[in-house]
Amino acid sequence: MKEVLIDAIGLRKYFPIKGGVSGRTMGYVYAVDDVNVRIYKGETVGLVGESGCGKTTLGRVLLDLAEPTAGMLFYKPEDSISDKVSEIYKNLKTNKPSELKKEEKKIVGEAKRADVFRNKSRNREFRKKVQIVFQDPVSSLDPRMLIKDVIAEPIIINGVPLEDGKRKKLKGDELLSYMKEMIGEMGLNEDHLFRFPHEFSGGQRQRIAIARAISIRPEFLVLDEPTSALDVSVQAQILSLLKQLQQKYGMTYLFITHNLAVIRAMSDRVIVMYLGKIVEMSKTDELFNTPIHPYTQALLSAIPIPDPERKREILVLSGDVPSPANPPPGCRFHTRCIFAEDICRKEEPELEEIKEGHIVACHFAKEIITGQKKRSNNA
Amino acid sequence: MSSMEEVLVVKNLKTQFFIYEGVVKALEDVSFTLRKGEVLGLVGETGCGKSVTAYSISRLIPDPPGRIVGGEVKMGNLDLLRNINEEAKLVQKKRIKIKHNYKVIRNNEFFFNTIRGKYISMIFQEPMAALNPVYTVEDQIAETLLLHNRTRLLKIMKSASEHIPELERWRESGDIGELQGEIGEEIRKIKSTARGNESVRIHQDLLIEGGTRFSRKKEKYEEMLKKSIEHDQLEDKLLTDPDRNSQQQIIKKLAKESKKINLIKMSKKMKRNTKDPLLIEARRECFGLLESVGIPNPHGVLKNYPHELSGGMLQRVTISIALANNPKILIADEPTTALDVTVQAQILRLLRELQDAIGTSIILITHDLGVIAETCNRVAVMYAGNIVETAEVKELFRNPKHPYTIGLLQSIPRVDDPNKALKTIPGNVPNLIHPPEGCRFNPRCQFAFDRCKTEKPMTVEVSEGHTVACHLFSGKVIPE
Repeated sequence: MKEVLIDAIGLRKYFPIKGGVSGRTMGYVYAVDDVNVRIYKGETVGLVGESGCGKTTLGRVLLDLAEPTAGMLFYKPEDSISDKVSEIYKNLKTNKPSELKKEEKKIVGEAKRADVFRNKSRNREFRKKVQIVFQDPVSSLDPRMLIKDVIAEPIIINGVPLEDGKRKKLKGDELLSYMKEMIGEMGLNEDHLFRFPHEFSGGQRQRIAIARAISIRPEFLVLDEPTSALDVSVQAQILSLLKQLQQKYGMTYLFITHNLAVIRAMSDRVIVMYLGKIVEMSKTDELFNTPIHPYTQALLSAIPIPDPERKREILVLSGDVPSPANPPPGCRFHTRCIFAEDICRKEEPELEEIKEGHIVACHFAKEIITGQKKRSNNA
Repeated sequence: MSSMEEVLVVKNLKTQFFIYEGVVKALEDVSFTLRKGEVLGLVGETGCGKSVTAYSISRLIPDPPGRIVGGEVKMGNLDLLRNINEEAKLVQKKRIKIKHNYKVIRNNEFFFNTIRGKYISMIFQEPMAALNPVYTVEDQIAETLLLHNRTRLLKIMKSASEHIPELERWRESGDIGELQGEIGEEIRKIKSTARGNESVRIHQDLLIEGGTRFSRKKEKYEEMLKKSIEHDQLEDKLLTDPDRNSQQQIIKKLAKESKKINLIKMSKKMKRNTKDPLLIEARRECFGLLESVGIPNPHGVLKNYPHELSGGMLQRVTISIALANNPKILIADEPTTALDVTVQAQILRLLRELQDAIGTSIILITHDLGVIAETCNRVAVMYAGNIVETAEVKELFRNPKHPYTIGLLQSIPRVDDPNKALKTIPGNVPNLIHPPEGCRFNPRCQFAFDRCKTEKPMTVEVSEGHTVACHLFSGKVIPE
């Protein structure tokens, strides 16, 4: 049995829209809406979706960089942070949150208070275990800090884990030699430590951002579109660097991107999001070979393949992504779906396990697998 | 394929940027040809000069700091860079200084205003930044139409004013028949592109209104039409006349009577249901253009401001502006980079469809080899200001020759081939202030030998239509 690293249950993040003279809340942007994610230790989970679908928000909520509106987050729940939490977690695991009885719901409420993120000292411990790499390496590095200061900051605050499990805050020569070793590992030079961020190219800056993130040897690393600002040849360099580092330090990755080709090269499992909801979740090969949800199918067929001799049918979706402030009722994808029928407009589909390890939220998932489902007039 | 008509010939184009740190040699002898009705892909990494090439062709390089220092860009008989050297002189003292000749620059600017938007138009990467936030979509499309297509608009109005009874009868009965002249052509176009009766009705209403307005002040508008036709004839002469001196004279004439549009006034008129038939016809054309690029509810979108539309919709609007005057050459500078994959698929399909319908030649600039493979006929691969390889799409992907092209193709992750090992090109793009001697790729090339470090490789033809600039290959040398 694989060890659960992060488990999020019923996670929601709504951003209020303020308007009017008095700044009242006019409505909400439903960025992440009732999402359950479980990430196991040592794996790479890919998170894909179009811009505005809430993938970055989900990544931030998982790191508690944004406070969730509702829902629960557990970090290493089986490892028992406290007995109370692990008991509650066990209880939760056997039941779906919606099926819980009244007394149990009370315990869940307690869990919310007791869980990792509501507790400041716990939060500090948590911060030593997780890190994030942002999309734009230009804006994520302070232009007035030398690279050595950029990389040293997390080490000075959080320390570096030693072999016996304790953390040590490095100083002076020890710190410098540690950083030199670090930066060499990133494929950069030792004297790069004494330069400013603007002296580097995009690829090098992203290497520095990665060096800063892994300098405290985190267990869980969120990569928020780490290569989308880079060229393909540099992207390949960064991706292979990330793979090497994962093997060496046994990190768990959450890889957020809109580039499906990168997902396929990097991840073990893929989560597809659309308008704040998870629509499909499966092992990478399974998802790419037999995509079930119509949105995944369209997304896969829309990627241009660098092979001019391969002619294939491209499923071009009509229209744009609807506004997450005012998502369509029923299935959120029905406005663009080629299979949409009346039930899709009224009822929201639940995530169902169609095959082993392949979870889909679609009313017609079974028909689509067997190829019985015909296109509706919506197309 | 080689017998096809060449619409644009670029030869030894050289663009440099003069900045404090030195001279950035952004383009070094870029040569390629664009044939009629094809899509030519320009591919390469950031900073390799793809966009600079596009901007140089349409003369949009900001000066200072940039300058086109040499080369030829020929559209038919006309050299678009004809007197580029007269614009400014380089004075070499302690540091390089530039002396401008403002008279020549002004004349060239007027000259290029007639070319840009009519014969060569562009689609930019960021649709949000390409459109003016204070004017409506309608204003911005109408501007290009009024600047370059006055004759056509007036001709249609004139023709409509002669056929008002028929148009009114059709509006009552709801069907459309055939007519002669400009209006007949227009009606055939409406029939084939309009979406539903509602849209046909809008077309008819605007045609009738414009026609009536035209006939009320017939003399004034006929005069306008006459002038505009004369102007068009001059322009045609400029494009076909092989003689440089007579070209010069025409340009001087064009510069004298160059039109300017006061966008503020025009926008105000457009908002207050205008009485000018020219503007009414421009509005109808805008409506038709938005329809042809697949915007839902085009009549509503006409009155929208850019911030009210999504990225995909905005890119459709910029495409409709670029195609408003049926340009000979369309330069699309990363048209889909800012968009999502599903919207990218929509836009690329649209570009191909419009190209089939209008027959424009397209230069598609992108860094995405997938987009190249699915849309282009021919590809030119750029590296550090040089074109290193040119070939037909299939040939390039099947049989890449230049080490850089090979590296580039190996470094893309593939959706359809997960087990492919990602190979990387070591090193970084060189600094173009001090580019490497010889072949600019030699510090990163695994096959580099002594000659690469000293001698710049010539472009050679390895097979028909496939040219490479690399010392590893031999073949017929393409004359520079």
